[in-house]
Amino acid sequence: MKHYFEYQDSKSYKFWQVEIEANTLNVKYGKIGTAGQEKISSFDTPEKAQKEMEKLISEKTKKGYVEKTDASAKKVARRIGVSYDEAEEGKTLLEKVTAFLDSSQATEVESLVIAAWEEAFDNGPQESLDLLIANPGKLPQLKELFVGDMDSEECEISWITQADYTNLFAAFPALERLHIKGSKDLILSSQPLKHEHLKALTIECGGLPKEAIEKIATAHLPNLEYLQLYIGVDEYGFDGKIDDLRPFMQKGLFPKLKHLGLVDSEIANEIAIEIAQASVLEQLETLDLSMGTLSDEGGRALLDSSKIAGLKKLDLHYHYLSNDMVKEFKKLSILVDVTDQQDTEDEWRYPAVTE
Amino acid sequence: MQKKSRFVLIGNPENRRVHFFQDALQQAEQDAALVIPYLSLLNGEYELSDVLRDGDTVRIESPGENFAVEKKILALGGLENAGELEDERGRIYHPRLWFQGFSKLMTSMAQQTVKLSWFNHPDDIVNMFNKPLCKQILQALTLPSLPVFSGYDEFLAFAEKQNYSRFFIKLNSSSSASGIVAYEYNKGNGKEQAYSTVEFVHGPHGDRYYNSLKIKKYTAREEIKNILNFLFTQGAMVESWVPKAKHEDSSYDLRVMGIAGQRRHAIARLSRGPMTNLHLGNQRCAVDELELPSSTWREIDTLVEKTMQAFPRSLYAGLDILLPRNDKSPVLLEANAFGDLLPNLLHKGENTYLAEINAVLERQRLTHA
Repeated sequence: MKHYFEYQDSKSYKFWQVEIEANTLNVKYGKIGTAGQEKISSFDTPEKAQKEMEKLISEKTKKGYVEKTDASAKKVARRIGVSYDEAEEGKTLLEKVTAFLDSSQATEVESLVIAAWEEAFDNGPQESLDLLIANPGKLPQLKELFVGDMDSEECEISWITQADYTNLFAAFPALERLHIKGSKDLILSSQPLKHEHLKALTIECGGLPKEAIEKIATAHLPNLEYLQLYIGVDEYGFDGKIDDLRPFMQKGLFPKLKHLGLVDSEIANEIAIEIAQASVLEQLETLDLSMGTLSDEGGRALLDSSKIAGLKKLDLHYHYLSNDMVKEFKKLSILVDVTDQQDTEDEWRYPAVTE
Repeated sequence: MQKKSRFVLIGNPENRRVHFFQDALQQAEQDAALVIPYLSLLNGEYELSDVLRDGDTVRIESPGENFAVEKKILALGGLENAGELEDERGRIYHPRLWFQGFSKLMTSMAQQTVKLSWFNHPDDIVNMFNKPLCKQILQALTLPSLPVFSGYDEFLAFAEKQNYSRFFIKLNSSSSASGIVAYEYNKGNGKEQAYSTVEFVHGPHGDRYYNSLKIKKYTAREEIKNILNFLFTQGAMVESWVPKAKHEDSSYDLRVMGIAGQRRHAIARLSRGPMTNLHLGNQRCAVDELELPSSTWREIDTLVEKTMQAFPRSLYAGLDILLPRNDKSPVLLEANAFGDLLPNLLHKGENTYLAEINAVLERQRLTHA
């Protein structure tokens, strides 16, 4: 008996599979698109193995893994990147993408993740991106593209150099999900942005330039359901103001929009105050104002809003709300994430030998 | 029937480490240890040789978290007017002289004429605390050595020439992420940035340096220069910043206990930033959750065994182990002689203290058998 699970969030995409045979459990797990790793454990009795399997499944389910009953539901995904020692040896992303496009797997891939590339703090992935754009026929199934899946262990987010995506949209008319990490040298489109099928757009960065905000605010994306923008800080490229974000607060800008994230912002209070009364809330299921500098001022505006009740979820995690206000949010009938409270009053100095 | 060995503990009696150890002795059905306060020794109230007797089993605990002791160690290291220092929480006074004082203290403890059995031998403790020396001893197991720099300018000249200019700069002898900088140089635009637990404050008598519980990010060259010059003056080493393995959306390294030559307790320290130390608000994560393949655990076992073999007079150490992101072999980052403060972490039903005590009892049983 085999159970296959997948987990996906904005940062990771992986599978976990367990197979039971008499008193043996065979667990396979890893990133989707890789063979993964295998772990075999034996138990005294089949009953014990069964019990262990149930425990593991319940742990995975709690973490948000979803069981896929049909094996064909499994997406074909591929992750391509250049690790830091590969970069030291002179390997390049372009070589790897070239080899991938010539492989038989390319024709099946639905989800493509470009992880780190060489000297990402200095070079964008333009050549590799252009190669994809020139070869849509080699990627007939591509639905999802993530460019720049690296963290601060590999490259500081505000230093990730990006590319010009203008020609991507016409080359892949069936693309559904686009996730771009890094905003330095990012050109989303040098023409009006239009795409009939795009369902999800995420731009994750230290600071989102006004130009990119305007490009999205004026885009024609009739199928967009999910929009997640890391607004960021002035120091890392956010040169806009609350006025530039107002278009996103209008109902109907993207008629199918269900999730709006204006996250990681140093003007989180201003955003909260504006959006609390905005018509876009009438169409949303999820409002995400997490990871910013939200404090009681913005929190109060949200609590006082009559429109919040229509949401399914309000994500405010990583915030500077007071304990009292956190309690008020927890009393709401909708799902509110107020975890990861920050504390500016905390005693921040510590003695040297403590661990 | 063998005569029971007496346990003696040198430490700061008020510290939780001492309480944890006494509790574990009780669990092991042993008499409480005789506690010798660092302060009494440093004040010259009595000599260690007045107290110790043949056959004692001695455990040296961390002298940390006690400012009176810190001042005495600084004085022993040669800091004038150490007695007049103010107890400012988190202040980094003089790591170089502190280590000199601490080394002297350990050396004096090592020179006992009575026959003792040590948990960790004082000479080993000094060697583990001395990061460059420790690196030399464990060369084959750890990251490659990089040059020693006298100051920021020399370091920057080096960083500019590297393909991959990401480094950790660490005080030669410190613990708990005190005096650590994660540094990055951008060849493209000449910018730098540094994440650090070090914070400085300008003052009339020069700059003062503090350990901060919040990781601070520096991008101004003058600030980075100030901190690095302080660290290099105190004695600091440079290591490559190798990307750490990832678990969900955090990176992590491992703290693994080597006890009696074997791998025992292990915990993953998750972090979204470059420093993984748990007191910096990072999360512990059970190693089972990482779902590491058994081949990696076998490599970790070998790493722990080889590290402990390099310190044959020591029973235990808390090892910081890096799992590089690209599935390369595990690498030893540091061996901590006082790295066993991992409350409530059980392995085979024992916490770290009890595991160490039982290992000592087993060693005694074997020598007397």
